[in-house]
Amino acid sequence: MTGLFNTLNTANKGLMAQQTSLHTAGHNIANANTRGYSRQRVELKADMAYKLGGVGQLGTGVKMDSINRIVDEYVVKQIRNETSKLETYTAKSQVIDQLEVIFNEPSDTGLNFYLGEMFDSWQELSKNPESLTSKTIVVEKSRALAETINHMAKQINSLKDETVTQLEKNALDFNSIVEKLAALNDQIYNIASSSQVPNDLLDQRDLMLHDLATIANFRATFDAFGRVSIKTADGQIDLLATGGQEVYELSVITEIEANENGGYSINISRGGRESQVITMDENGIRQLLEIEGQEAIDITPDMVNRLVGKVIFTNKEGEGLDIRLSDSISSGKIQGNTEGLDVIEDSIKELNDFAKMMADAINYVHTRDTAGKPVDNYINIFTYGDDPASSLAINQDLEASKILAGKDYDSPEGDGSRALAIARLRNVKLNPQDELEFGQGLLLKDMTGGVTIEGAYANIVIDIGISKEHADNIIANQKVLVGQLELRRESTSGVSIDEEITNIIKYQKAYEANARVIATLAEMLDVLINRTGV
Amino acid sequence: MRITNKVLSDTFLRNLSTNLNQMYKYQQQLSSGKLVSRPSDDPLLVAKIMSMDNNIALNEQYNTNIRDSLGWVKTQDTALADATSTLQRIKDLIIYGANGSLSELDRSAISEEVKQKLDQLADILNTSFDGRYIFAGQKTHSRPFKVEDGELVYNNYLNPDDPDAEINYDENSNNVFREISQGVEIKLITDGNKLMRAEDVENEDNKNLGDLLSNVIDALDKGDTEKLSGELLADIQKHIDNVVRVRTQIGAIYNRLEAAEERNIQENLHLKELLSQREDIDIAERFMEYTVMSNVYVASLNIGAKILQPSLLDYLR
Repeated sequence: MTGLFNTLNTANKGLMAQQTSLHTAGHNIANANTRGYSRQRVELKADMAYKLGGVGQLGTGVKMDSINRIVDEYVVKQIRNETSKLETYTAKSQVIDQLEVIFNEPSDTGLNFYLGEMFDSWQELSKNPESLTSKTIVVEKSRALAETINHMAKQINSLKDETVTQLEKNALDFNSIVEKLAALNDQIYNIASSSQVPNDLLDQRDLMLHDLATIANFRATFDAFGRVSIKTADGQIDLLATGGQEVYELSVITEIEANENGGYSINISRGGRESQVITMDENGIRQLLEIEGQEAIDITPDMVNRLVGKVIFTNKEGEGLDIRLSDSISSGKIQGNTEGLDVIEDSIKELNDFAKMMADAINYVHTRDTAGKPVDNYINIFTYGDDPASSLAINQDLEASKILAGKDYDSPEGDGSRALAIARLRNVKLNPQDELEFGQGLLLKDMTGGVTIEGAYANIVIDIGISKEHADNIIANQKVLVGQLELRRESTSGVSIDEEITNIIKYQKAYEANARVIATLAEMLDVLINRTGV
Repeated sequence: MRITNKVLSDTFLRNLSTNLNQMYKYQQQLSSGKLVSRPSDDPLLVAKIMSMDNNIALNEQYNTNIRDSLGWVKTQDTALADATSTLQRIKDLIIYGANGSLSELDRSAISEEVKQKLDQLADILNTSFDGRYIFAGQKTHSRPFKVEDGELVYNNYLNPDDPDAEINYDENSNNVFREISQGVEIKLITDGNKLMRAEDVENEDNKNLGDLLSNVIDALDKGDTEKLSGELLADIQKHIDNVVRVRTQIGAIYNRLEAAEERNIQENLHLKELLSQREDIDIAERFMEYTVMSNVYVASLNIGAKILQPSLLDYLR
């Protein structure tokens, strides 16, 4: 049996539904430019119908079923993965960019230039072997070259430190986003457990996961409430858990030094916040290296050196330090900076090899007789320590007068044969693996598979250039891909102002119509109550 | 596909930034004049440029070497021309002095002139270039020729304790060397001993120019006209021939150096041209491209302003 009040109620429900829809449209417009926002829609359906005896089902108006956010979870996940890859190469490219600036080639002021100047000074000495000025110029040009190499090595090392600091910051960012996500998980749980959908919180959750993915890749799973739990990509280590498991956070190895009893003392930036020093024996180092995929039977200093900047996982709560290892981070800023560190290490190593090769060759020619035997009072031009590039220097005992232009100190003053032999080193192909050897007179022999000194330097520059070019190409491609994906997300979840305005008009009209129903009912009631009967 | 306002504005921004990036690249190339400014712009090209830069610098060094050597050799040539005419004059004096009808006084005047010529010869052979004696072997700072007790002597033997070693010395060791192109060394003849010794003189006493000239003075003083017109006259001719021979060798070196300079300049031009082809931009072409790009940029700004503005809101009320 239907009554006027019942109809009034139906109209009222209609009013409420249109008003709520209007409100949601307003919410959408308000958030049209909010990052990560997904448009929302009030799902309306016809309410439960009455059974009208002998007639059939009588509708009772509209019911607001839910407020949904419109998202394509698959696209969101894809964006996360592809952005993570984009960030890898962006971070890597930024690091190599700075390296390129340090090498400063091609230019008239780079190392290549000083190298040429040094060889030219020997060439000039070979023409003016009598002249002390020419010898002084040789010493000064050699010094300028050594200092340029030192300066470059210093800059590269500080770039390395900077990149490690960057990695610490990455770890800190990652950990703090995870902490925020933990708090968000609680909020989501509170709302979801009263069977409501926390749309805006879920948007925030997705946004944070997106930000997290720019730092490092991970495996995310969602439970029935919409809470997220995060593990490393290989699923081995919990980073954010909803079931109370022990969780780990990202930490970075910032320094490793061999100590006197065969072990290593390792400085860990725990969680990217505080540094902690631990000691590790060879087996520990071996494990770290194995995670990197290196079968380390003999641990070399270079291997150990390359562990600096490595991200490890440490316990977040509880006593002591529990380290877990995983090589599952394969994209994001952390991976990019790590790959950048590798390029830096490669260039340091190559610069060291280059400095050593150059210094050895020049010293060899300057200190030996034609038979290739070292002579006591023929002194080295260059000296260097463990890291040739940063420690390359002019021999302290070297004065201009000790520069040997001729065959020996007793040679006539016009003999420039040794200076000429050193100048001609410029075109000799050297191979650091092989022993230096005189060919004809004081000229060094070309070696099989060798490169010239200038060639060796150019190779370092080219290697850096190729890494950067490769990274830049991937960035360009990846940007297009991410752009396309973001368009797809925007096309699904984005707010269209025109659409919302149209909806607003639609809801307004429906609202007005519902109001009209109420007005009509009110008139009818007025007739019924005030004008019938008495 | 559902297109929202943000899709429009994002796409617009992305394209605009692509255009700007391209413009930036052209601008960089136009303002520097160079195709590449960093290794990553084109690593292989940068490798080529670096090696060409080195080759050009090296070539320029060779050019200085060649020009220095040319100066040296030219000075030597002039000195030897003078030396030859001095010796020629001595020869004339010998012929004159061999005339049996000359008086004692005449002959002593001739002897006096020969002595003068001896000093002159020493001075000529002691010519220096750029602060270095040019016929001093490698002992470029010690004066090679001297007139001692009326005798012309060469001081700069490789082994002064054993002047006889001069016969067996390794001829390479007392000359100076210059690198004139990659791997090519040229030997500048500086050994003054070569000028002193005429190996084809049979008489041991006259083999050395100094000894010969002493003998000449001796013969003049003694009035030994037979010796003067005989062996001394024959031997001084041989010595003149010897000096001319050395001068011819030096001339050959001069020619070789001139050819090398020619080649060096050509090579340098060629290298520079090659470098410019690789490294430099074609300004006209790049400027056209830049203009096209900036037109595209302006057009996209224009269109952007048109498509981004209107919305349904403009038409309500």
